[in-house]
Amino acid sequence: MKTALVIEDNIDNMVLITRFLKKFGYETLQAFSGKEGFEMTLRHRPDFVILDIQLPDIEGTEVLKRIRTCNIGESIPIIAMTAYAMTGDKANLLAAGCNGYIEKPIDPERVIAEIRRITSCFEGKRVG
Amino acid sequence: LQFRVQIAAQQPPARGTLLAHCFVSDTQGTKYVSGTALEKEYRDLVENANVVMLRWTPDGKITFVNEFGLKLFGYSERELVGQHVVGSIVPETDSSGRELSPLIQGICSDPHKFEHHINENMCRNGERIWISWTNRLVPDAKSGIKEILSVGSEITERLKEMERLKSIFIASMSHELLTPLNSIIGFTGMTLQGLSGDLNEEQRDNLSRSYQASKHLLSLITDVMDISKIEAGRVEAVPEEFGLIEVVDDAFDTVRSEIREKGLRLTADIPENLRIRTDRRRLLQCLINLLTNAVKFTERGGVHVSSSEVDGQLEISVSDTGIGIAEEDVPKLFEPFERLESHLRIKAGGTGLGLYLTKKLVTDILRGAVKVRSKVGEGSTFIIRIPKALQGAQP
Repeated sequence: MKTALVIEDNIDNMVLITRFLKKFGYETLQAFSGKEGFEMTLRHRPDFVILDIQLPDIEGTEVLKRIRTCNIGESIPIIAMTAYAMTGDKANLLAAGCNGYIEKPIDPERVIAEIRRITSCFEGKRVG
Repeated sequence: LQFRVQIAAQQPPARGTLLAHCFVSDTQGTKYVSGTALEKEYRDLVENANVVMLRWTPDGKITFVNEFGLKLFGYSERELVGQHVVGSIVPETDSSGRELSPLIQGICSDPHKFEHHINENMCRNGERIWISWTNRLVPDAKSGIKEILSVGSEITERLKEMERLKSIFIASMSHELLTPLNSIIGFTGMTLQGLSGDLNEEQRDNLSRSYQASKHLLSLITDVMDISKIEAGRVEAVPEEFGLIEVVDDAFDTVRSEIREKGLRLTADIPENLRIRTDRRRLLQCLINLLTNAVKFTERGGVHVSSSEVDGQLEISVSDTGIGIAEEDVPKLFEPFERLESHLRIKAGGTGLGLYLTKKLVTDILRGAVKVRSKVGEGSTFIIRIPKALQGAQP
């Protein structure tokens, strides 16, 4: 069973995401701040991370950078999540090292499709 | 008591000097009463107070402008006096495309309504400024209008600052609205997709109605956010090169189901190899808005998108065979929340902001212009004209 770490400060969104991830058979870990999210990524090495970009303490993009500069950080797929696509957001986030991108409001089926696409990509890499 | 009155005329006077001196003397001696000094004070007040003072005739001819006004607009007296107001200090159309000639008739026919009026004005160098006017009509002997006295203060900077504050407020407020709304959409969506168990027919109907309503609210909020961000100058174009046909296809995807439901045709005539460089996302947004609009007001026939090159610029036309727009309604089209009377019968969903946003996007971000050609009962064509290669910051 794959484990997802969700980094999101809004409780409703956290419940929504973890709830449907569970329905699709994922284990979930929850982090409510950027700092906590970064630490949990290193400690638990989840199969993928869903990272809200608007976080109260550290900006999501900063969390992304910190994870990416760690040894194990490179091998973890990270899916960025933003409330509203600002011009260039998607491009910027992908350039900053995100592997995937989802937009709120969240559509469970689309998110699952994005997760599957990205995790299978990474598996391919690991096998190769 | 007896007085002797003497009038001493001057040579044709220079601006700001007296035409004649008047001396009144009584039996005790001569008194100088024409009051050059007083007269000069009044003149100084009129000419140089920080307001524009203007006299003009009911047919729009300027008969007097004070010095402050001349300086503000950048004209000499000779250039301006005798000119028509419209075309000199009042532009023919304001920045939002509204014609201003009717304003002049409006001031004369409905003085009360236009007693205080804020409108765009134009300097000699083409610069647009905003002036807050008060207009007073002077009646003639035959109960007509002799002339109009207008006094105006320039408020361009104040308006800009107010606009900016308003836009910042709206942008941050809409952002706050999005968070709870996203939860509503997320949870109803999840339940509707059957992820929390089966739903009976009524439950499904209830939920899909709330889901649709919340999606509508979402598009309202995102439109308002886009508009306020553009108005606050916070949106920058992100130009990239792409084939026009790809964007048109993407835009088609968003209306295909409605086209099918209504039994309309959806066609495009765009060269396969036509490539442009502009902000793809914003152009797509404009095309979606125009297509959605076209489909909404078309019951028979179809919607057609075509392109052509005019003076090195690209024109993209979205034509429909819908109900069309009356000529007098055209200026209202691009105003926010304006629903045309002729269109009220049609149960129009939409945000009421689509065309307003489209115009903003095209003019402010894509550096182009939007036009419309329409005939009632025959259909409408909206034309976006944009540069083929937009200069701008790299993403």
